[in-house]
Amino acid sequence: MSETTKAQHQQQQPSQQQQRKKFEGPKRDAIVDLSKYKDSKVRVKLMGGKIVTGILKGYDQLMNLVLDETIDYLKNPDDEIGTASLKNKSRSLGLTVVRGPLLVSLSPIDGSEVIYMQNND
Amino acid sequence: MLPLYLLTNAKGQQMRVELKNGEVIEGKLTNVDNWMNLTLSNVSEYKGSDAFASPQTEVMKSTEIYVRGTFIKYINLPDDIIDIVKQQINMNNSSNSNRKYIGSGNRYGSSGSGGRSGGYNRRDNYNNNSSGRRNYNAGNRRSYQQNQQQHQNQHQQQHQQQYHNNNNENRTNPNGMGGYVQIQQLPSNTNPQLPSQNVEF
Repeated sequence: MSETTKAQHQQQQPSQQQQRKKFEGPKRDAIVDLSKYKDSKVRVKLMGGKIVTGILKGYDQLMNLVLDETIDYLKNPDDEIGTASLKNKSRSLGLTVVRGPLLVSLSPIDGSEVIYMQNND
Repeated sequence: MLPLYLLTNAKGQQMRVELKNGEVIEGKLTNVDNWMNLTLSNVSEYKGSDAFASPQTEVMKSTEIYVRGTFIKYINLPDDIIDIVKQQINMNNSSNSNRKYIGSGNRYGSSGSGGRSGGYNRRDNYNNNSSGRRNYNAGNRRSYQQNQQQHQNQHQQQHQQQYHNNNNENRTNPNGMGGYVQIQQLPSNTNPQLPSQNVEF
Protein backbone atom coordinates (compact mmCIF):
# COMPACT_ATOMS: atom_id res chain seq x y z
CA MET A 1 0.00 0.00 0.00
CA SER A 2 1.51 3.31 -0.99
CA GLU A 3 1.57 6.33 1.28
CA THR A 4 -1.10 8.13 -0.66
CA THR A 5 -3.58 5.31 -0.51
CA LYS A 6 -2.84 4.91 3.18
CA ALA A 7 -3.68 8.56 3.74
CA GLN A 8 -6.83 8.19 1.72
CA HIS A 9 -7.86 5.24 3.76
CA GLN A 10 -7.47 7.12 7.01
CA GLN A 11 -9.41 10.07 5.67
CA GLN A 12 -12.23 7.87 4.60
CA GLN A 13 -12.55 6.07 7.89
CA PRO A 14 -14.93 8.64 9.45
CA SER A 15 -17.24 8.66 6.47
CA GLN A 16 -17.37 4.90 6.70
CA GLN A 17 -18.70 5.19 10.23
CA GLN A 18 -21.28 7.73 9.16
CA GLN A 19 -22.46 5.30 6.57
CA ARG A 20 -23.04 2.64 9.13
CA LYS A 21 -25.06 5.07 11.19
CA LYS A 22 -27.29 5.85 8.24
CA PHE A 23 -27.86 2.15 7.93
CA GLU A 24 -29.39 2.27 11.42
CA GLY A 25 -27.02 0.11 13.37
CA PRO A 26 -26.91 0.59 17.13
CA LYS A 27 -24.99 3.67 18.23
CA ARG A 28 -21.94 3.85 20.43
CA ASP A 29 -22.08 7.50 21.37
CA ALA A 30 -24.32 9.25 23.85
CA ILE A 31 -28.00 9.18 23.00
CA VAL A 32 -29.14 11.83 25.43
CA ASP A 33 -27.95 15.39 25.31
CA LEU A 34 -27.59 16.43 28.91
CA SER A 35 -26.60 19.95 27.96
CA LYS A 36 -30.27 20.81 27.52
CA TYR A 37 -30.90 19.87 31.15
CA LYS A 38 -28.01 21.86 32.50
CA ASP A 39 -29.01 24.18 35.34
CA SER A 40 -32.49 22.69 35.39
CA LYS A 41 -34.02 20.27 37.85
CA VAL A 42 -33.78 16.58 37.09
CA ARG A 43 -35.05 13.47 38.77
CA VAL A 44 -32.58 10.61 38.92
CA LYS A 45 -33.33 7.07 39.94
CA LEU A 46 -30.50 4.97 41.24
CA MET A 47 -29.91 1.29 41.57
CA GLY A 48 -31.28 0.07 44.85
CA GLY A 49 -34.38 2.23 44.58
CA LYS A 50 -33.09 5.58 45.69
CA ILE A 51 -34.52 8.65 44.00
CA VAL A 52 -32.78 11.99 44.02
CA THR A 53 -33.63 15.33 42.50
CA GLY A 54 -31.33 18.23 41.95
CA ILE A 55 -30.14 20.91 39.64
CA LEU A 56 -27.84 19.45 37.02
CA LYS A 57 -24.54 21.30 37.15
CA GLY A 58 -22.29 18.94 35.24
CA TYR A 59 -21.97 15.54 33.64
CA ASP A 60 -19.55 13.38 31.69
CA GLN A 61 -19.51 10.56 29.16
CA LEU A 62 -20.15 7.92 31.81
CA MET A 63 -23.14 9.92 33.00
CA ASN A 64 -21.59 10.76 36.32
CA LEU A 65 -23.57 13.80 37.36
CA VAL A 66 -22.97 16.84 39.48
CA LEU A 67 -26.18 17.84 41.19
CA ASP A 68 -26.73 20.94 43.25
CA GLU A 69 -29.38 21.30 45.95
CA THR A 70 -29.76 17.56 45.87
CA ILE A 71 -32.69 16.06 47.70
CA ASP A 72 -32.66 12.37 48.48
CA TYR A 73 -36.14 10.97 48.92
CA LEU A 74 -36.12 8.32 51.55
CA LYS A 75 -37.30 5.04 50.25
CA ASN A 76 -40.82 4.04 51.03
CA PRO A 77 -41.66 0.43 50.26
CA ASP A 78 -45.12 1.44 49.01
CA ASP A 79 -43.69 3.97 46.66
CA GLU A 80 -41.61 2.43 43.96
CA ILE A 81 -41.73 5.11 41.33
CA GLY A 82 -41.27 8.04 43.65
CA THR A 83 -44.27 10.13 42.81
CA ALA A 84 -45.63 10.13 46.32
CA SER A 85 -42.16 10.70 47.63
CA LEU A 86 -42.67 14.40 47.21
CA LYS A 87 -44.93 14.21 50.23
CA ASN A 88 -42.66 11.85 52.10
CA LYS A 89 -39.64 12.37 54.21
CA SER A 90 -36.61 13.60 52.41
CA ARG A 91 -33.17 14.80 53.28
CA SER A 92 -31.20 17.53 51.70
CA LEU A 93 -27.71 16.63 50.56
CA GLY A 94 -26.52 19.82 48.90
CA LEU A 95 -23.91 19.49 46.19
CA THR A 96 -23.32 15.87 45.18
CA VAL A 97 -21.70 13.75 42.54
CA VAL A 98 -23.87 10.88 41.36
CA ARG A 99 -22.03 7.86 40.02
CA GLY A 100 -22.97 7.14 36.43
CA PRO A 101 -22.95 3.34 36.67
CA LEU A 102 -25.59 3.45 39.40
CA LEU A 103 -27.94 5.66 37.45
CA VAL A 104 -31.07 3.83 36.31
CA SER A 105 -33.13 6.58 34.78
CA LEU A 106 -33.07 10.31 34.39
CA SER A 107 -35.90 12.66 33.50
CA PRO A 108 -36.45 16.41 33.68
CA ILE A 109 -38.76 17.71 36.37
CA ASP A 110 -39.95 20.56 34.18
CA GLY A 111 -43.01 19.40 32.34
CA SER A 112 -43.61 16.37 34.48
CA GLU A 113 -46.80 15.81 36.43
CA VAL A 114 -48.54 13.18 38.47
CA ILE A 115 -51.93 11.93 37.41
CA TYR A 116 -54.17 9.20 38.74
CA MET A 117 -55.78 6.69 36.45
CA GLN A 118 -58.76 4.68 37.50
CA ASN A 119 -58.41 0.97 36.86
CA ASN A 120 -61.59 -0.35 35.33
CA ASP A 121 -61.17 -3.96 36.34
CA MET B 1 -33.33 -9.90 13.10
CA LEU B 2 -31.03 -8.76 15.89
CA PRO B 3 -32.67 -7.24 18.96
CA LEU B 4 -30.69 -4.03 18.79
CA TYR B 5 -31.34 -3.68 15.09
CA LEU B 6 -35.03 -4.10 15.69
CA LEU B 7 -34.95 -1.42 18.35
CA THR B 8 -32.83 1.07 16.43
CA ASN B 9 -35.19 0.77 13.50
CA ALA B 10 -38.25 1.02 15.71
CA LYS B 11 -37.57 4.63 16.66
CA GLY B 12 -40.73 6.68 16.86
CA GLN B 13 -42.84 3.72 17.91
CA GLN B 14 -44.90 3.57 21.05
CA MET B 15 -43.57 0.94 23.44
CA ARG B 16 -43.73 -0.29 27.00
CA VAL B 17 -40.57 -0.94 28.97
CA GLU B 18 -40.58 -2.92 32.18
CA LEU B 19 -37.67 -2.34 34.49
CA LYS B 20 -36.08 -4.75 36.91
CA ASN B 21 -37.78 -3.08 39.86
CA GLY B 22 -41.21 -3.81 38.37
CA GLU B 23 -41.79 -0.27 37.23
CA VAL B 24 -43.31 0.24 33.79
CA ILE B 25 -42.44 3.04 31.41
CA GLU B 26 -44.58 3.75 28.35
CA GLY B 27 -43.59 6.17 25.66
CA LYS B 28 -42.37 6.85 22.18
CA LEU B 29 -38.86 5.61 21.52
CA THR B 30 -36.56 8.41 20.45
CA ASN B 31 -33.14 6.80 20.62
CA VAL B 32 -31.26 3.59 21.40
CA ASP B 33 -27.58 2.86 21.73
CA ASN B 34 -25.30 -0.15 21.74
CA TRP B 35 -26.04 -0.96 25.40
CA MET B 36 -29.80 -0.72 24.91
CA ASN B 37 -29.92 2.51 26.87
CA LEU B 38 -33.11 4.18 25.70
CA THR B 39 -34.54 7.63 25.50
CA LEU B 40 -38.31 7.86 25.36
CA SER B 41 -40.51 10.88 24.87
CA ASN B 42 -44.00 11.62 26.21
CA VAL B 43 -43.54 8.99 28.88
CA SER B 44 -45.77 7.78 31.63
CA GLU B 45 -44.26 5.72 34.43
CA TYR B 46 -46.17 3.64 36.85
CA LYS B 47 -45.69 0.76 39.17
CA GLY B 48 -46.46 -2.48 37.35
CA SER B 49 -48.31 -3.98 40.28
CA ASP B 50 -50.63 -0.97 40.56
CA ALA B 51 -52.14 -1.63 37.17
CA PHE B 52 -53.53 -4.95 38.42
CA ALA B 53 -53.91 -4.76 42.15
CA SER B 54 -55.06 -1.34 43.19
CA PRO B 55 -58.19 0.55 42.10
CA GLN B 56 -56.21 3.46 40.78
CA THR B 57 -52.79 3.88 39.29
CA GLU B 58 -50.50 6.68 40.11
CA VAL B 59 -48.84 7.77 36.89
CA MET B 60 -45.91 10.08 36.50
CA LYS B 61 -45.91 11.85 33.16
CA SER B 62 -42.75 13.43 31.78
CA THR B 63 -41.66 14.85 28.48
CA GLU B 64 -38.57 12.71 28.22
CA ILE B 65 -36.70 9.99 30.05
CA TYR B 66 -33.37 8.26 29.76
CA VAL B 67 -33.30 4.62 30.85
CA ARG B 68 -30.25 2.46 31.50
CA GLY B 69 -30.18 -0.61 29.29
CA THR B 70 -28.91 -2.86 32.07
CA PHE B 71 -31.95 -2.08 34.16
CA ILE B 72 -34.50 -3.14 31.55
CA LYS B 73 -36.34 -6.39 32.11
CA TYR B 74 -38.20 -6.41 28.82
CA ILE B 75 -39.71 -4.17 26.18
CA ASN B 76 -43.17 -4.56 24.70
CA LEU B 77 -43.27 -3.50 21.08
CA PRO B 78 -46.20 -3.20 18.66
CA ASP B 79 -47.06 -6.56 17.10
CA ASP B 80 -46.40 -5.58 13.52
CA ILE B 81 -43.07 -3.91 14.22
CA ILE B 82 -40.94 -6.71 12.85
CA ASP B 83 -42.56 -6.48 9.41
CA ILE B 84 -42.25 -2.71 9.37
CA VAL B 85 -38.60 -2.88 10.28
CA LYS B 86 -37.84 -5.55 7.71
CA GLN B 87 -39.47 -3.38 5.09
CA GLN B 88 -37.48 -0.37 6.25
CA ILE B 89 -34.20 -2.25 6.06
CA ASN B 90 -34.96 -3.57 2.60
CA MET B 91 -35.86 -0.14 1.34
CA ASN B 92 -32.75 1.29 2.92
CA ASN B 93 -30.70 -1.38 1.19
CA SER B 94 -32.05 -0.94 -2.28
CA SER B 95 -32.19 2.84 -2.25
CA ASN B 96 -28.71 3.37 -0.87
CA SER B 97 -26.73 0.41 -2.08
CA ASN B 98 -26.00 1.79 -5.54
CA ARG B 99 -23.78 4.54 -4.34
CA LYS B 100 -22.88 3.35 -0.91
CA TYR B 101 -21.66 -0.13 -1.53
CA ILE B 102 -19.70 0.61 -4.64
CA GLY B 103 -17.97 3.35 -2.72
CA SER B 104 -16.97 1.09 0.11
CA GLY B 105 -15.91 -1.62 -2.26
CA ASN B 106 -13.55 0.66 -4.07
CA ARG B 107 -12.17 1.94 -0.86
CA TYR B 108 -11.37 -1.43 0.53
CA GLY B 109 -10.12 -2.66 -2.79
CA SER B 110 -7.67 0.13 -3.32
CA SER B 111 -6.38 0.09 0.23
CA GLY B 112 -5.87 -3.61 0.11
CA SER B 113 -7.72 -4.75 3.25
CA GLY B 114 -9.82 -7.09 1.31
CA GLY B 115 -11.67 -9.77 3.19
CA ARG B 116 -14.62 -7.95 4.66
CA SER B 117 -15.37 -5.77 1.73
CA GLY B 118 -15.52 -8.86 -0.38
CA GLY B 119 -18.21 -10.15 1.92
CA TYR B 120 -20.20 -6.98 1.71
CA ASN B 121 -20.02 -6.84 -2.00
CA ARG B 122 -21.05 -10.39 -2.43
CA ARG B 123 -24.04 -9.92 -0.20
CA ASP B 124 -24.95 -6.83 -2.09
CA ASN B 125 -24.89 -8.71 -5.33
CA TYR B 126 -27.60 -10.98 -4.08
CA ASN B 127 -29.77 -8.11 -2.99
CA ASN B 128 -29.29 -5.78 -5.84
CA ASN B 129 -28.59 -6.75 -9.38
CA SER B 130 -28.25 -3.29 -10.83
CA SER B 131 -25.01 -2.62 -9.00
CA GLY B 132 -23.71 -6.12 -9.39
CA ARG B 133 -21.14 -5.68 -12.08
CA ARG B 134 -19.16 -2.84 -10.68
CA ASN B 135 -19.18 -4.34 -7.26
CA TYR B 136 -17.85 -7.51 -8.61
CA ASN B 137 -14.90 -5.71 -10.07
CA ALA B 138 -14.28 -3.67 -6.97
CA GLY B 139 -14.37 -6.68 -4.73
CA ASN B 140 -12.03 -8.58 -6.95
CA ARG B 141 -9.34 -6.02 -6.99
CA ARG B 142 -7.69 -7.52 -3.95
CA SER B 143 -7.78 -11.07 -5.08
CA TYR B 144 -6.36 -9.96 -8.40
CA GLN B 145 -3.34 -8.65 -6.58
CA GLN B 146 -3.07 -11.88 -4.71
CA ASN B 147 -3.29 -13.81 -7.92
CA GLN B 148 -0.58 -11.73 -9.39
CA GLN B 149 1.64 -12.38 -6.42
CA GLN B 150 1.05 -16.06 -6.56
CA HIS B 151 1.74 -15.98 -10.20
CA GLN B 152 5.04 -14.27 -9.68
CA ASN B 153 6.01 -16.70 -7.00
CA GLN B 154 5.23 -19.62 -9.17
CA HIS B 155 7.17 -18.04 -11.93
CA GLN B 156 10.24 -17.61 -9.81
CA GLN B 157 9.95 -21.07 -8.43
CA GLN B 158 9.88 -22.46 -11.89
CA HIS B 159 13.02 -20.55 -12.75
CA GLN B 160 14.83 -21.82 -9.75
CA GLN B 161 13.71 -25.31 -10.31
CA GLN B 162 15.25 -25.09 -13.69
CA TYR B 163 18.56 -23.99 -12.25
CA HIS B 164 18.73 -25.76 -8.93
CA ASN B 165 16.56 -28.75 -9.45
CA ASN B 166 14.52 -27.77 -6.40
CA ASN B 167 11.44 -29.59 -5.36
CA ASN B 168 8.74 -28.64 -2.91
CA GLU B 169 9.98 -30.73 0.00
CA ASN B 170 13.16 -28.83 0.62
CA ARG B 171 11.52 -25.46 0.23
CA THR B 172 10.67 -25.15 3.89
CA ASN B 173 13.45 -24.34 6.26
CA PRO B 174 12.22 -23.63 9.78
CA ASN B 175 14.88 -21.51 11.39
CA GLY B 176 12.56 -19.48 13.60
CA MET B 177 12.14 -16.46 11.39
CA GLY B 178 8.77 -15.39 10.11
CA GLY B 179 8.07 -14.21 6.63
CA TYR B 180 8.97 -15.07 3.15
CA VAL B 181 12.51 -14.99 1.89
CA GLN B 182 13.82 -15.45 -1.54
CA ILE B 183 17.45 -16.12 -2.10
CA GLN B 184 18.71 -15.34 -5.51
CA GLN B 185 21.63 -17.42 -6.56
CA LEU B 186 23.69 -17.39 -9.60
CA PRO B 187 23.37 -20.44 -11.74
CA SER B 188 27.10 -21.03 -11.48
CA ASN B 189 26.82 -21.90 -7.75
CA THR B 190 24.31 -24.57 -8.30
CA ASN B 191 24.43 -27.73 -6.37
CA PRO B 192 21.57 -30.14 -6.81
CA GLN B 193 21.67 -31.09 -3.12
CA LEU B 194 21.56 -27.49 -1.93
CA PRO B 195 18.52 -26.95 0.30
CA SER B 196 15.99 -24.21 -0.01
CA GLN B 197 16.30 -21.25 -2.28
CA ASN B 198 12.72 -20.31 -1.78
CA VAL B 199 11.99 -20.36 1.90
CA GLU B 200 8.55 -20.11 3.35
CA PHE B 201 7.98 -20.60 7.03
